[in-house]
Amino acid sequence: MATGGAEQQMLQFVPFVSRLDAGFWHELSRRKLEKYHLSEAAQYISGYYTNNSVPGLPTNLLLEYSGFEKPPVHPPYAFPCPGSIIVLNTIESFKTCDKRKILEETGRQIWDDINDGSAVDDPSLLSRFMLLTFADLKKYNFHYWFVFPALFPNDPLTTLSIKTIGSVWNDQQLQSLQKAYDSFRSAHPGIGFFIVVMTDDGTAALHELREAETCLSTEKFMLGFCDPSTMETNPGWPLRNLLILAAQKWSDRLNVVDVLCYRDYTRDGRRLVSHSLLLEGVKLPDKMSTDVLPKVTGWEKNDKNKSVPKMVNLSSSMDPVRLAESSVDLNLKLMRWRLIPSLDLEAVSSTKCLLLGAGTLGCNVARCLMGWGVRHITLLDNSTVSYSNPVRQSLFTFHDCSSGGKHKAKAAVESMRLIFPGVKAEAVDSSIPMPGHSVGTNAEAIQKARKDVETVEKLVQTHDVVFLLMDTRESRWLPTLLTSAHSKICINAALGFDTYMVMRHGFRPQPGTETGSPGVIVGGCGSGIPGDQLGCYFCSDVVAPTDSTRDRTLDQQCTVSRPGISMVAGALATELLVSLLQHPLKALAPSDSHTEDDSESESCLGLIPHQIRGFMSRFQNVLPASQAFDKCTACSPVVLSRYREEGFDFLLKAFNTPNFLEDLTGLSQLYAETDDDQVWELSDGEDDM
Amino acid sequence: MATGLLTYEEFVRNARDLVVMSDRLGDGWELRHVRQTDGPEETAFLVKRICVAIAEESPVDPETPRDVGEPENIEDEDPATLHCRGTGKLSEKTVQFEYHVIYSPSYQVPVLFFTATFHSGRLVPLKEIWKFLSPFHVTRDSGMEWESVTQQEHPIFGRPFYHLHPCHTSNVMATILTANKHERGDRDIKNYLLSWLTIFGPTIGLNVLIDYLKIDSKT
Ligand SMILES: [Zn+2]
Repeated sequence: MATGGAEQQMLQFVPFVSRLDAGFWHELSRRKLEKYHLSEAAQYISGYYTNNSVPGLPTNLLLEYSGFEKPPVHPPYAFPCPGSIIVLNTIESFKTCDKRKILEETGRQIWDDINDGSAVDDPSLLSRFMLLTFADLKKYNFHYWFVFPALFPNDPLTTLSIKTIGSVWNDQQLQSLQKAYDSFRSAHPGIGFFIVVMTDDGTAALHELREAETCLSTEKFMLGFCDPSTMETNPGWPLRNLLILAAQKWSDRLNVVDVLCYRDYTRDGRRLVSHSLLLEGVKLPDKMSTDVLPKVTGWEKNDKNKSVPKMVNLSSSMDPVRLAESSVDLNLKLMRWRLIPSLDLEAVSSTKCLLLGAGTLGCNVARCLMGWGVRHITLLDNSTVSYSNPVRQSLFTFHDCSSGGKHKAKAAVESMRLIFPGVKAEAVDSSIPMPGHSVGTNAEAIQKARKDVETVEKLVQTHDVVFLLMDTRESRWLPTLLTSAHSKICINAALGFDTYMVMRHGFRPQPGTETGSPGVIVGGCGSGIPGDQLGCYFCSDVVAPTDSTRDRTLDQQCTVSRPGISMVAGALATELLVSLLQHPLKALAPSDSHTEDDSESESCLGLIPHQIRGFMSRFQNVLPASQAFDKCTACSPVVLSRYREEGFDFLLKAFNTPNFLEDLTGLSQLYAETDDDQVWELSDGEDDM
Repeated sequence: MATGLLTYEEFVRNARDLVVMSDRLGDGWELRHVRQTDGPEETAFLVKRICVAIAEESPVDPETPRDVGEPENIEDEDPATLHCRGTGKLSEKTVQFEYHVIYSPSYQVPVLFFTATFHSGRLVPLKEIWKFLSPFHVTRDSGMEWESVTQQEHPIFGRPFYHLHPCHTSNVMATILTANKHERGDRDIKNYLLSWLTIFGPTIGLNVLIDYLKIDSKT
């Protein structure tokens, strides 16, 4: 083999790039909490590298969850590296601990293992590494920094040439090498350092390092190692300490040696080793005094080649709150992928919903909205949870009733956060002023009413959809007027004993807005009423709201309904909104009452009725639709324009003056002309006993 | 008509055979055993990792890995270290896919769990995974790749994984196994797991070498 004379070139080595699997940090967190506690002592850990990467991939040193186990579990074709991990307790100690000392201490272990011969028997000790960490388990921040120590020789390592073995050896030699490696591997699995003896007839044999003494005399002695590098011109990191070992152990009989950088990958069923490198004429450094630790390098550098530690935030895979959020979202997407590709989940989840009333209907609607991934939900109620409530009002428990009972809205929101911490729920404790419930002339009372109106109006303005889920008919008047005045979607649900009514109010665009909706929609077998011409709750009631609780007997006051009614109605109210949001016209979608399966709807979820009236006694629903009524006490143009002009003063008159609304809208006159007061007999309430 | 179901014993037997084939092909499958805290029995499952370079223009992980603090002057300059980072000589952006094949006692079929991680161990979000996978399979536009993928806690490790929901597996497998018997006679795929992998693997970037089928047909 050629020595001297020809020009030596300096060897440069490809450093390891650390790679951690997701399970590693989970396992580290578990061990920190259950085993290490506050101990900062170095703990055992094992990583590995491979020599089967396709060209172009980095030279990874991998750590996975199973690396903590003893013995470690590693994949086939992996070369284990013993390591240690230090888990520091504070970020300060992570920043200020003596990095030079850590580097030298780890390097010294390798140096000692080389000199006392341990590394000859177990060459994996040459790839020893150290991982310094600080784990902030509250924020899921992990600070980390690897050391892959390499010892410096006194003079730079040089070689005469670097070639691929495919360009030097013939097929027979390559195949012989492959065979020799396979038998070495099956005898010494996981050992990535060896001696190669290639005879003149092209037969290769591999030996353990401890057999070096007997092989040194042979003519064709080569050092070999499984090379994680994929670079054509540079060997990987493990060779550095191997050459130091060779110098310390064998330099009396060896000063120039050939090195095989063995690479071995299979792609598409074809195995390749010919891209392995052959370093011819590597000049071994002089033997160094075992008493003095050579210089050491090895802190992992960043991609700008700077020595800086790293930090990774793993809240997306470790924070249970974020896990719940992504799980919920993925689960909803599953519905889209499987069943309804055109489903617009974003349109649903981004909708801000205001629920007026946190009783049976409010609880059920809130739960159903969460099921649809709705995040912004505000509940308004002014009552407290009583002992009869939890069995029917699905967000409360017995504990919410003690010591006078929690405020309903607040208790409901707490419960929603327990169910799904990702929800952005707010509670508002406020009452809703009502016509017929006179505010009076007392300045204080008027001030309170004014404040309540402001609260409700502000909430209506800051939400996209308002659900009317309260227990009296007249409490629906103000929010009906406000949703009409501010052009919001309004979904209304009311319960009887065994009947229910769920409806979407007709949409009232802002004055001067062109809705563009055609006068009448002609469908396949009938016609619907455009969304802006549909009636509201009060349009079909030809009496103005008055105090409905005043003249009732007890069981009328405390409305009793079959327990399933509110679940059905709450679910229908939510699903009606979701179907509506899927329609291209949204709130302007015309009413659709076709019940035949084959009727086409523009919402991917099916038809969008104006009202759903249900009769539990017959287990039947009907889907009526009705036009807006020009004398409606809540949504007619005259009411809306007077409200826009006079604001609270107008409302005060409505609260305080009997027949004010009837006179204003012309209902009084209508009464005089007809005595038809057939009113749909529906009590609105919930079971607030 | 085949049932499309598999017992745990058959699963383990199939998995062992698959690993033997994989070893011959250098394909990287390994069979691992874990003793779960609540059971005396060991659970066997298959594991495979694939590291892939992703295009430079691929969206990077915004949160990781991050340098913290100032560069420290803690060691001497070393001329023997090749500074290849940031030079474009090696792929800077790589993602490691980790596939687990686990037996589901309730569905009586194998279930494919997978994750993809950046260098730091942070999970690649699902929507990014498809971007990385798209060069590797052509069915992207069919929408099929989304089918049945959801996030699930790993049944053994309890940490989040993505998985292909097994609710359709036995139906699909029953059809395949029955068709195999009728059309190919004795040339059908003997290893249930192998058939299953060839059908469900490619949707998430796990392609099965044709050589497996050659080996399988010889056994
Ligand atoms: Zn009206």
